Amino acid sequence: MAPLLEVKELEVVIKRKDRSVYAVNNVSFVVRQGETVGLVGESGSGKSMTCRSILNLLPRPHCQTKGSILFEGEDLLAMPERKLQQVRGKRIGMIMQDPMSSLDPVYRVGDQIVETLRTHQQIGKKAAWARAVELLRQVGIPSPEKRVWQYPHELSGGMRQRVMIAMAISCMPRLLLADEPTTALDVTVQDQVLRLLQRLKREMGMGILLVTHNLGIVAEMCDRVVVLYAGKVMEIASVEKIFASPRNMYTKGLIRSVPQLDVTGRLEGIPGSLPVMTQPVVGCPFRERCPLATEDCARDEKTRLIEVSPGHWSSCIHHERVCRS
Amino acid sequence: MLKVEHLHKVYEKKESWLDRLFQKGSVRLYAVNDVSLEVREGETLGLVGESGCGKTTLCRTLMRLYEPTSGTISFLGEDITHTKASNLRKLYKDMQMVFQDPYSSLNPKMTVKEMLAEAIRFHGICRTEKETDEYIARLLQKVGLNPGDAEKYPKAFSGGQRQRIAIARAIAVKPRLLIADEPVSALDVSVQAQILNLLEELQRDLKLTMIFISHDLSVVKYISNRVAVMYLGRIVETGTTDEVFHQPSHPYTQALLSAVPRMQPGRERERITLEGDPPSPFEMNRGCHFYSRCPKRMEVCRTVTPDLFPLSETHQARCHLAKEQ
Repeated sequence: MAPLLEVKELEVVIKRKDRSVYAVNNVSFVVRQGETVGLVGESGSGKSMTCRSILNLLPRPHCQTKGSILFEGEDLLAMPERKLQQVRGKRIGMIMQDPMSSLDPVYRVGDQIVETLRTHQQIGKKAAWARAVELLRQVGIPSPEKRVWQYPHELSGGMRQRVMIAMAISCMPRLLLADEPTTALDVTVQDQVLRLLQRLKREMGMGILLVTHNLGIVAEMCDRVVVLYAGKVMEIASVEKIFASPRNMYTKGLIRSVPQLDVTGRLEGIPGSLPVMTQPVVGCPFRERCPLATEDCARDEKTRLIEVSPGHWSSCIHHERVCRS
Repeated sequence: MLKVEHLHKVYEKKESWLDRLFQKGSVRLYAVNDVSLEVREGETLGLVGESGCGKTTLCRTLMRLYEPTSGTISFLGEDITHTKASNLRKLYKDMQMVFQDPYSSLNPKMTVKEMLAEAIRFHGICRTEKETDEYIARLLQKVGLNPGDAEKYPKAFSGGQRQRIAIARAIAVKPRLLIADEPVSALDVSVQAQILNLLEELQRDLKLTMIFISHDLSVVKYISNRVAVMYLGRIVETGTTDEVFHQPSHPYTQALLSAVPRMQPGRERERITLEGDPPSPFEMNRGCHFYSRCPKRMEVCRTVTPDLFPLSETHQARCHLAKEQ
């Protein structure tokens, strides 16, 4: 069966007056139906840019994209805007990071959900309002019949994120894009929202592309993980394999830099910082910070993704040494 | 070294003519509510809590950046609760602070050298120009920067490097107490680990005492000897790191710990889910502040404010249940 979403050799370049930033370089991965895929990386790794280019939400004309993004067999990048509008919100839902700025402050919560519903479905006003109440109940908002009449500023951060989720799932999308959905929330509220997403996924059988920098969330939510660094895919594997036997030095370093509640011992950290991305990335972008780096790491043809074991892909030529180190 | 007793910081919104019209009266916000704590020489005290719990207000009041409403603060045996502004200069020789956001806490129009030299001159650390230059070079090396970076402006540095500069500026005057307010929250995990290790090293080498504020429990566990958990302006539990993380006694600490996503895929963690969000901090006087969300609440909690009950010599919890244990 064809995958739900297939990103093929995606490239995004941000053009500025004096220079260009090569934000996403040759990224390919798939999301299958009913599966949660984590897109992990630090700031500047291109994870949000990848996520946004799926719905063509990048600021034009500064961003140039290459490659293809197939959703149920159709190329979203080549799709005319008019047709794309029927995909956004209907077949693909999206949750943004900041619930404060992604809801319109001058409309009631109910108005915003009803607008989404009536744009994509043949549904009367009354029925749409009733459905909005139903949706708010589904995402766990207490006394939803009162909440639909409130404005976003009357709700807390966690509530607003629930409203965002309600809007995103209102048309039963096949795929949900979640761009750092809990980063702006406190841990106890984050826990509530993560549970909600898990429940909705089970009930609706949709695929989720979860963009996050938090490895704990990845471990609990995802089936498979795509690790990005400086706009390149470093490793793709099932969540168990990523944590138990990473085959890329960056993944390994990332996991070792996270302080954990159940583990004591000194953190390793990764020396150095992200490379400048104003030039196209050639070879492995991590080589300057990598203890295993050799001359071959600077060559493009050596650092392509290869399948090191079934379903486990790594771009590291030293993947066997990573295993042993 | 630092002793705080019954510290309050109350913000009051005065009654305006509009409020009088609607008969609203003045409102009070207890940002810091009856906080008592002690910091001993050479230790790191971690202060944890969710957003809005008063941890930042508390540390800024300790620094005397805010005027306390009532209570006493004594530092090195001296009462500094109402020290005059002219004497604060002497105080800041021994007490320094690192702020959360390394992008706004450094003056963009000053070079690193100018920034450090200003602090050094102000407190009379070095006598001659040459001595100052050498001292700055040593400082930069100590925080892991290049002595050649001294002539650069902040914009030339990444977030992690900026935080190193902020730390260099704080330790330049050889303080005895360092207050770090979320120093790693704005950084990526790989860089976060570097800064945590740097702070740990400096503390050991310079025999610093540190108050470390964070909303991230794993980070606090990594760096602290003792921990205080705050909720809505009050300290709800305090103890050694071991006691708080392995035998949490306040229901809030227990819930907070259980809400942190763990990096172990496939393992179901025991979750204590809190309902709702923290209540508004306005006019909270009677009973336990955690009453509205507590899974173990009893009738007595609604009306009687629990004291900090001692559980061991070092461990205390503000909960009626702790008394029975």
